[in-house]
Amino acid sequence: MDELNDLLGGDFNETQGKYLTFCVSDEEYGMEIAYVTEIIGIQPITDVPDIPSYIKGLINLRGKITPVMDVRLRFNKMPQEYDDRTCIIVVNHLNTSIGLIVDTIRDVLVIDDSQIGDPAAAAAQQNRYIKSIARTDHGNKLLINLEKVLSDH
Amino acid sequence: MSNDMLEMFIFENVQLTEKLEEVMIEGEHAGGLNSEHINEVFRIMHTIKGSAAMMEYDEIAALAHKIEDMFFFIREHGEAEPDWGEITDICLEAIDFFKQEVSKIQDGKPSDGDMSETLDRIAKCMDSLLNEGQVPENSGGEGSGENDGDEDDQAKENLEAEDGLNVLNVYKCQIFFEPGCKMENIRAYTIVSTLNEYADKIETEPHDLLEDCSDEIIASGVKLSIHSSVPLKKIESVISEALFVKTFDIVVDGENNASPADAPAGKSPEDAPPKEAKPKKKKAKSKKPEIVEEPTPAAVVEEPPLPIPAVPAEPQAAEIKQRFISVNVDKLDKLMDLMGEIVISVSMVVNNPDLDGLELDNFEKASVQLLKNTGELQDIIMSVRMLPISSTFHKMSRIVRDTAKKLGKEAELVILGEETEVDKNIIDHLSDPLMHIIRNSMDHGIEDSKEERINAGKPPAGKIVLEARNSGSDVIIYCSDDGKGLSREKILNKARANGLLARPENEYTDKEVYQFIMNAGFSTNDAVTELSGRGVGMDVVKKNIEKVGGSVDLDSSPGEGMTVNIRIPLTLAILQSIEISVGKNNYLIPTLNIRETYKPKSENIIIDPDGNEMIMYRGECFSIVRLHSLFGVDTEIEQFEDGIMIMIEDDDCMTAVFADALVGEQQAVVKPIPNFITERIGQIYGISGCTLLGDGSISLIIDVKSLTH
Repeated sequence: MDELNDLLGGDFNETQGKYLTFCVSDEEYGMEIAYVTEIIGIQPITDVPDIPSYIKGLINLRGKITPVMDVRLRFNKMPQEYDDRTCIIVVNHLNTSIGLIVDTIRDVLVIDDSQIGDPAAAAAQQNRYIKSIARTDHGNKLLINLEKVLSDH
Repeated sequence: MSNDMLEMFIFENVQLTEKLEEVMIEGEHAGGLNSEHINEVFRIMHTIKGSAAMMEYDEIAALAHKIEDMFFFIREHGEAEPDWGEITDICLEAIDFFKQEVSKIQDGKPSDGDMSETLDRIAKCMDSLLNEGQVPENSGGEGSGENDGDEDDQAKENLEAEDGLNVLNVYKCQIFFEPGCKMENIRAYTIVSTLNEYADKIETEPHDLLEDCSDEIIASGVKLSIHSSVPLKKIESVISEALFVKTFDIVVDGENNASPADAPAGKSPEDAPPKEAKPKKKKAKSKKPEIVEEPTPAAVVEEPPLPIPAVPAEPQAAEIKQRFISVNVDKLDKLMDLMGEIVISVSMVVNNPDLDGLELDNFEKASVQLLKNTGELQDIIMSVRMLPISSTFHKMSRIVRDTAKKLGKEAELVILGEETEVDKNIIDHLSDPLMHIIRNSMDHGIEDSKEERINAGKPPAGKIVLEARNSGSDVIIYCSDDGKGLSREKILNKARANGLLARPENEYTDKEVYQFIMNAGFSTNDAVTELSGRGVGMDVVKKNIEKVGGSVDLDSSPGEGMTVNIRIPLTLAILQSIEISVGKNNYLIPTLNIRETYKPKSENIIIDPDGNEMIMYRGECFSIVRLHSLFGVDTEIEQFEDGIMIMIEDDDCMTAVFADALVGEQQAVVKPIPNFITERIGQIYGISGCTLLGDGSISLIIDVKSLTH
């Protein structure tokens, strides 16, 4: 995890074309690394009443109160107990930090645009959280549309 | 007068005078002030004037006012090139005066300095500025004898009359400057230029004062031989008026001399004590900006001429100076975040599972100590940003007093809850809005005449109440007057005229109507007065408050006055609270809102046919809120007898809240629920915010207001 965090430190040029890959359920997903601020292990989560079930609550990220979302539940998969492989990917979107709980972190991959499939094909699958599919040497990765994942619909 | 204000005044003043010195010296080196400098000086003087006037140090205010005037003139007539040397001198003299007065104030003595001399100089300088066109005055050194004004002519005449003679004398003169005053050559040069007015010829030693010869002057003083026909006294007075002159000797060298030949040696200017002139070999590099940082004559003057040095004033000055430092708020934020991490790390170490089952006496002792210290550290860090609102409130009494005088009304200010602590940021944003509101109340609210008030059955003097209160996650500031109140009719008329009405008039509630006056450019005052009526004011109030995430609300009953409620989220305010547990979750309830906690007895529980649970408490019946069902938390404690009942109240509305157990007391720094969540579902019912606890966990704060209403 630490090496991954080191990789996150680069500037924009270094992050371009790089994707953080992670597992949720049986699938592997990828996310542009520019969004990611850090990766942490699972933390104690404070429940907040009356919120959608995929928002698990709040964590204390070095004194910053940060909401966390369970990507499993967001993708309508069955909930699973958190274990020591569970990670929280802290992303920064529109100046807000949000933690995404995923089953496990895989790797940071450089994915060339040519490897990324046609978004229309993904759209045909009618999953609004997936932008497109990338074919890599390590298998297919579903590239997520972070904005959609974080939006409230 | 409160100590806080005094300290703030001293802090501000010291900072400003230091800044001013910097500017002046910079300007002197550059051979004149540029427009930026002029604006800066103007601003500084304006601030000093304002704060001094508020603290009723009229002398300081008057002097600052004069200098402000002077710089106003200079600013407006940018093309003319004034005599910067003189202006710098005046300003430095003024700075000394400010410092001297401030150090007196610090020592708890009255500010009684006499700055008439400086004022005279300013007047002269202004005169010469006004006559600028006729006599160009620059570093050429030729004094402005002609346009010096009557004063000097008169002085000359007087002196001539006194001596009855007008003969040419040669005065030999040796001047020593205050040690550490720096730029001795320039000071000597200034004296020479002044003397040039009265002298036919002046020889100096060192010869060229514009060269850097400060060291020489420090060592042996500056020697002048002045060929002049004016009497000795005049020369003496010129020299003694000069800044930083420590001692000087003057003897008459001429044969036709009618003046006393035994000219008193070592006669000192009134600004310096008649002590031995021992110019210290202090290296005076004229480039240093902190020219008068040392306690120069200013600190010495007020001391009695006994050999008590100015030392007593110094430590105190240092002490008060150090009581305030400006710190970037970002640093404080970082400090607080880091503190949170430390607390977590400490608990990770102390409760480390690896230690389970081990008997570690010394470790236990050390960790108790560590916990105690980190706890204290955290308390301090939390409190650093918080300031009591009192100084802001007390500033307002001055506003009330001044506006009352100007308007010829009588009013008193009542301050309540001044100990309420508010984040520094918020305090900074409060003072302007409050000022507007109070001026508004004074001008529009309080009736114009006592008779009007007496006829309305009110005491002749108006009353303005300023109150601060913690209320859940907000600080509420009430500012109410007992004046006329708002007139619905007038506001509606004005709104109609401005085209602000979107619905039929009778559909507007009173509160909605009152909100109109917070629109920009909205004033119902018929005549524009000095204080208000231009329609800027209430909209500025609204904008400023909204800037810190607050809201403004108006309430009024005609004939009884108006209340402005300012609600500010205390994003960082420390909240005393009680921690309670429900299932595995902990919640905080503000201590202020808790009336009582007790173990409920089953015989006091009433369940109505609809299944609503209520409890008899001190003869009254209150509905019960079960927190576990409200927040959807699983808990084993569902029987009232097993848990705890908490009576919460807000604005006289009370409700019983049922929780599992009391955990303890907490000082919480309130943080809002992240936007990410509130954007989705709006405000969470029953929750007003959240906070980080000492162990790094997050606790939600219960919104008493929504539960009781």
